Amino acid sequence: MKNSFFKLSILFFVVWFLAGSKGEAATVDWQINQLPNFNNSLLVTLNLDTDGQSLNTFAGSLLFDAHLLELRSASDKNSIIKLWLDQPALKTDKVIFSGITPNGFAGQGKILTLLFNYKNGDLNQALKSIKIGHFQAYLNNDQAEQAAVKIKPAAIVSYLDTQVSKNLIIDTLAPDISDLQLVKDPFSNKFLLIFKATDADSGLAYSAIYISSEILSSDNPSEFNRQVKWTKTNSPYLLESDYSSQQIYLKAVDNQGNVKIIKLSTANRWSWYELVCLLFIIIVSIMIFRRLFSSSF
Amino acid sequence: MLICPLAGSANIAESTHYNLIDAGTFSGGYSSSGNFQLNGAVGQISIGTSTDTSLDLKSGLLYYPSVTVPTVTAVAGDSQVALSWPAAVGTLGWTVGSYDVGWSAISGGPYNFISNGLSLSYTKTGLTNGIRYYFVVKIKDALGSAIATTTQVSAVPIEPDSPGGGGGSSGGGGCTRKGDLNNDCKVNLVDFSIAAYWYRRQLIGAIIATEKQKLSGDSKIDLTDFSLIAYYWTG
Repeated sequence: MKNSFFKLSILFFVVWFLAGSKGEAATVDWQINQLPNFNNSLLVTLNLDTDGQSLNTFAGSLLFDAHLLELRSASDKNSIIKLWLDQPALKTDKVIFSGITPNGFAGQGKILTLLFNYKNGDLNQALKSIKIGHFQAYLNNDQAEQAAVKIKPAAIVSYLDTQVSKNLIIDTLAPDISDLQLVKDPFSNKFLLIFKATDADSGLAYSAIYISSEILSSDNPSEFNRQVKWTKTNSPYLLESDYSSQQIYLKAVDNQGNVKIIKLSTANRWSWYELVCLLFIIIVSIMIFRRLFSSSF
Repeated sequence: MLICPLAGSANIAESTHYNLIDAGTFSGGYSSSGNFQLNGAVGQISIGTSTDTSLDLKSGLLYYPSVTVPTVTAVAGDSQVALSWPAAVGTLGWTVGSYDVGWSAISGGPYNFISNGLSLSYTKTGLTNGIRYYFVVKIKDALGSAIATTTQVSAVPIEPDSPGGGGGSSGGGGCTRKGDLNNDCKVNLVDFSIAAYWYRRQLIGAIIATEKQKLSGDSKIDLTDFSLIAYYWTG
């Protein structure tokens, strides 16, 4: 009897230890803020605690009731995700996002910030409708293993007023376009135009491309207002044909309508000073020939 | 001059001057002479279709002996490539006697061959990592004559994964690193962008062409591949 009690005690402690012990798991900690100075606005911030693990790839979705809420912008300012595979955006009835952090991220950091307008109706209903659909993270190792992830319930914080939230709504700075590269795709042997379009405050709304033989000034966006058919695109953009004689323009627009346009000079055209130089050479050549011709006779 | 039906391979009936009056059992491609004439039955007879008592001679395409040509699978490893294939099956008298494995660093050969008996697998070792090698398997009959050759397959031996620094070169064969899709020995924004392009194309049904071994090797591009790119990132 005493022996049985001893065995049961050991079994109890083993079960208790196994149940009590837990493996490493990243935690998605997210909060919803009401903005006091901007009525009908809700700020949703997704944060991640990697629990000491190094993670490098992230993907997720956020659900909400489109009858009660409208996505106004998505900001990746100070995000731990450095390259977006899917820039945070509304697709059908949810916000989806995915991206990577080269060499991994370990610690606590922000994933993204979403700004919603809530329409008519019950605010509490609107708040309750916001849910994380799914969240995946991958360990930064050569096995690309999926990390265990826990999602905490949302923390609803009222009336948080920060500079970040103001910048989301009052943004006058144009987006940025960087890391431009033209590389050959080894699989299709066509050229891919790589670029990085970002906006630090209100977030990038979209980027677009325009290819034409027409020369427009990227310093004067009004030139592009007339009959310019922009094609919305993400990086990379596949150049389907030879664009050596074309002008390529890239545009980035943020959620507050600020615009940045840049021109990639691929067309091999003569500049004005080259034309003047050519004209000078022709005139001098004619003069030399005339002199030679007149002296020979 | 050969005047009797001949059962055997064409190597036996190879001459620059003979006339073959009656057909023998030999397969296409053996008769390399530019001068001999083949008289009599156009088709070849096979074992069992003619007998001594009836001299029943049947000719025609239906009676050509044939052999199935297997598909070779090549799996790259460290300085080696493992090949495997299902058994070739002969019909109408052809019996598979052995397989020769050929390899070359040049697509289309010439190949170096090694006899592999009747084994259905072979691992070619001592290869240089990072170089693409091409392989074929030659099927031989019981008399040792080649009767079919498989379609060429290729593979690039890869060195064990080493994250971060290091050139990754081995024996002058260049560098091989998972995620280095444009072979510039770096894993960076370019590779991420190429993978992202094909990831999006894949979503609409397009299929990535090749070079699967540079990603996770599962013939599709998904988040695990981007995780590998992020891990091997050299910037």
